[in-house]
Amino acid sequence: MAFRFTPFEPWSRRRMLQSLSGVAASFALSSPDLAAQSSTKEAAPFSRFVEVAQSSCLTKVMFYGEGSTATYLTEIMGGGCAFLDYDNDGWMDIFIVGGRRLESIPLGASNRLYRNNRDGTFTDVTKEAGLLDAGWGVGVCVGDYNNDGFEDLFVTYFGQNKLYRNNGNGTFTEVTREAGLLSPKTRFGSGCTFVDFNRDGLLDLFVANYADVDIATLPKPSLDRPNCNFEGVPVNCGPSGLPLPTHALYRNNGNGTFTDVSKESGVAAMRGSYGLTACAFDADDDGWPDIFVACDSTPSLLLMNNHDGTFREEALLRGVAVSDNGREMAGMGVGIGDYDCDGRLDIVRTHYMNQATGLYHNIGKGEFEDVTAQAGLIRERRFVSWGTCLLDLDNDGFPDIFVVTGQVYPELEAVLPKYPRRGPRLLFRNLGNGSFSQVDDASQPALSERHVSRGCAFGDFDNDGDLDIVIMNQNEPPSLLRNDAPQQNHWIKIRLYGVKSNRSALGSRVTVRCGSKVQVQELMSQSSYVSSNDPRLHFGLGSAANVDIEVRWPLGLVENYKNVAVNQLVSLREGTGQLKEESLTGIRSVRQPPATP
Amino acid sequence: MHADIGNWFAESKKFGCAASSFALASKLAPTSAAYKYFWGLSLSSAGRPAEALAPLRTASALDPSDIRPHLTLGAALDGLKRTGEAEEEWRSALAIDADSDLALDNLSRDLVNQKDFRSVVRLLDNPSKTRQRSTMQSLNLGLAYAGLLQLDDAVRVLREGLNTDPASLPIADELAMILLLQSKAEEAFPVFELALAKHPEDLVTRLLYLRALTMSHSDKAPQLAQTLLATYPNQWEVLFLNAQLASTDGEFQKALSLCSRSVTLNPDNPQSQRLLGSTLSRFGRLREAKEHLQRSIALGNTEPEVHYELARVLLGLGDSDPAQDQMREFQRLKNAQSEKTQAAGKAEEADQATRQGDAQKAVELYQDALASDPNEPLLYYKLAKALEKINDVAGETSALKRAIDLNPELPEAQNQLGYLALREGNSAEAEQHFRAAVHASPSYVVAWINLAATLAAESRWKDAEDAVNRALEIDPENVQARKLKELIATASPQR
Repeated sequence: MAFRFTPFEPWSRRRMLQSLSGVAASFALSSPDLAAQSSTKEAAPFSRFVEVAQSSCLTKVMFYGEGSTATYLTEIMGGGCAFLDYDNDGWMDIFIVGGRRLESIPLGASNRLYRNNRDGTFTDVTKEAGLLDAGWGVGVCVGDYNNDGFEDLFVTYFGQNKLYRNNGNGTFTEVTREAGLLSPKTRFGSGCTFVDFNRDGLLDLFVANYADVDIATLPKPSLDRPNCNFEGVPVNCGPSGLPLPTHALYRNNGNGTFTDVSKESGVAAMRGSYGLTACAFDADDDGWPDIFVACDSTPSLLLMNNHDGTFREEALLRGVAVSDNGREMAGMGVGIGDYDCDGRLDIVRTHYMNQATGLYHNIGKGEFEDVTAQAGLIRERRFVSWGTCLLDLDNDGFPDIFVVTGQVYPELEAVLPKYPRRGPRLLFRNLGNGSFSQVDDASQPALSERHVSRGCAFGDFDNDGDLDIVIMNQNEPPSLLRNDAPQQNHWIKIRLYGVKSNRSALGSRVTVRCGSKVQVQELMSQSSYVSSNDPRLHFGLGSAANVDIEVRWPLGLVENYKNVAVNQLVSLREGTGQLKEESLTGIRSVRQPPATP
Repeated sequence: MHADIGNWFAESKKFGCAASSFALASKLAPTSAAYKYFWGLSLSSAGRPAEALAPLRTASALDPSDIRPHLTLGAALDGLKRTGEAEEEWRSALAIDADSDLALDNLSRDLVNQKDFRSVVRLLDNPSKTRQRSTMQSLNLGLAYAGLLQLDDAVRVLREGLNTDPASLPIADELAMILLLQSKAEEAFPVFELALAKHPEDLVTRLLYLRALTMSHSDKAPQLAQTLLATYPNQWEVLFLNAQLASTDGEFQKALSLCSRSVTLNPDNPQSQRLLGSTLSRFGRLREAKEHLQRSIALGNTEPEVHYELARVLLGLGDSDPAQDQMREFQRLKNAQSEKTQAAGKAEEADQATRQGDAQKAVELYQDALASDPNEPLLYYKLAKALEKINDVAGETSALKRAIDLNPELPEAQNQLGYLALREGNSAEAEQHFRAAVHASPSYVVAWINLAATLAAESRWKDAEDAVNRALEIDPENVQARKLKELIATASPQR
């Protein structure tokens, strides 16, 4: 009697096994000369990161869910953070999005605004600024929506998103209702970005939603439901199987109010994805801002601007919706930058564990190819990854990749130790040959320390000419990683002031050239994981002594600045052709020597 | 004399000669059930099951208390693929000896093969009986529970089976696979490891284990893959799995080499064809990639992703129209998957509402689920059950009809439609549905009872008696069936 029969189709071994296969990502081989270049790069000094949150007085715990358990996925998704200069004093302040407990709001739970004291420390000014608020905050985007010269804040929530108008006197006023941004029902806001999509000089607002859920109807962890357990451990459910949301686009009316144009713009029709981080940038170099949305467990979205107030979704056609073998990825965070210095903006997207952080190379006209394997990123798949960047951290002229991590199922660790709740920071150093090498964190405690992190933002809080990193850690104070970049590398920071364009100059594209080398960045309202970076575009320059700068302003004006000296901040005002130079002295702090590999 | 010679031939395994001898013995003693049985047994053992049927049936008629002719008949009929008749013989055997392992093994196997999982459960998971299940019974019962999506029960039964027979590879394999389906990889791995400790050379189990490790991204996968490759350098699946691991780690040259060999050895596997096509495309060998991806689809690869990969290759070749077609197919399949997932989510919520007694909410949620997945018969059945609870008979009937339109083999829906028809006084339609229910699930006792009741109501006593007898054959203790049988006996004019 044959025991090993295949008894019936749905459970047949062969059929099931067919579903088990997982084919890997992309490819390439590095040529010998490039390999030689990479070994030179690896030998050069790299940035050293030092955790200074405590000494900088970033000490408030960012409550988010229970910590050791999570009944619903609303408890695990936040929050983002931002570097912004809310008081226009030339020093980066910090905003952190926080949450609450499921059943209560603990004392001290709130989003936090920290004012930069210009001495390496910060003061918590949340209350004075009028920003105390404890809810299920998720993301933040920054932009001067009313063109008054002060950066405003938009914070997404599971619940009601909130617009905070900067009053210009150190305080903010919540103007969600007046601005026409109240939602009639509970929504799970996640990514957001200010973007002048119709190029009228006013910042409009795109908001991604994660899922159409309500805690009252959300299922709880269960072994009986396939999307509510992980390897036999009941965990918070989803997102798979949860109702798919629509995303929203609000047009700025120029009078402090917005009009929901989701339907007429075509955005409302782009269903089918659990949206997270939203980045507005000109993907196809046509001068109009497009919007990339990293989406969890579903195809990511690339909304291409039709120049007439509408968008078409083309992520699949352009190679950024799914992995190169067609698999849906758990897209969380996004970095936009030009990793191979070819003058085109590439995309890095963080993913769930067992999915490598993906790198998508822009091959022109907004077409992308998945170069995750070629770039050497494919082997690091251990952690759920969130905030990220494609920015030059060691000022060598090649953008690096930084990633923060943290588990989404806190209950796993006790049962399955291979899935730790807290994760390290991952750093991939650009070797200048199209590939990256992972920086060994053994000598850098700030990288190897483990946290349940979500958003992170990149900015120069101490004005010393490199990019520091602020990180939102759930149920802990934030981290602030001071970057001590190799001193011999040069840099330049560019601050843009829109005049005809939006005042924040969001959507401006800056190209920096030195010799034959070109670098490009675009000023964005959100990236990383639902976070917002220092609005001063920072370029590492290696040994370059001066650079040429080209700015394409959001409304299309192109201005050039030749032979600009390095190691300084330059401020450019749209349409004036004039450049204000300012050396940044930084603050006096004890600096460690750069780390050697 | 002839019987002695027959025995001698049988012991010498000369079954054809044995059959001739027992045939002669039977001719000389036509009322001997034993000779008839041995004649049939010899024919069956000689590989002539069709000829064996007549003597075995005669043997059974001559001695209704002898289980052996039924068992041999059951095996012969199964061999002839006359499963329905075989099932009757297994049941007859069980009527003689309810604990016959041979009958239980074979009947449960036949029922599993027919996907009549409920009948298997009824047959083998009787709490009133404490007897130990055979290995085959444990396996079949586990598979039946898996088929009913009662995975916890499947795991329980298979674990019990493995405790009884720790060396059983089929049980270990199935248990491990069900644990994987439950996303309990960490529990599945020790099952594989224990099985392999007892059967270290079993390639099927080693391959299953490697598949599981690969699927779970386990650190152990590369080592096992290398070991298998060293032992079986020309086994296509070993090569394929090694290629897959190499590809996952970005070692595409190695993946290409391994996968090419795998496909050469077995060109008919859609997944290795896909992996080869995908890997070739990374080296810019687009025409070859296209061929292998197309071959994968032609071989029955139903993964949406293969269409995406083919679309990218076609785009690279400049074949934009076919590329668009493939991309559309990818999206169509993905959207269908997404709709199914959305429907499943809604259905889960609806199930929850049902459990909480909120039938109205359940109805709404099932309807939402059906909006996403309008061709799922089980959802219509569940909707019908919820509608029944809010007394919406028209809606219930409509949902049940839709369910059986989509799957006429849904016995519960057929039974319920029969019940509703009977309530409306439409006996003919009721009978039709009850017959469809027992056809779809021959051990569906309730449907047999309903059928018997319907037939009795039409005074079709003989048919009614047959139906109720069938119910009692399956469940001799069924109180309703016994009562009905008595009623029929009383009411029947012949009696």
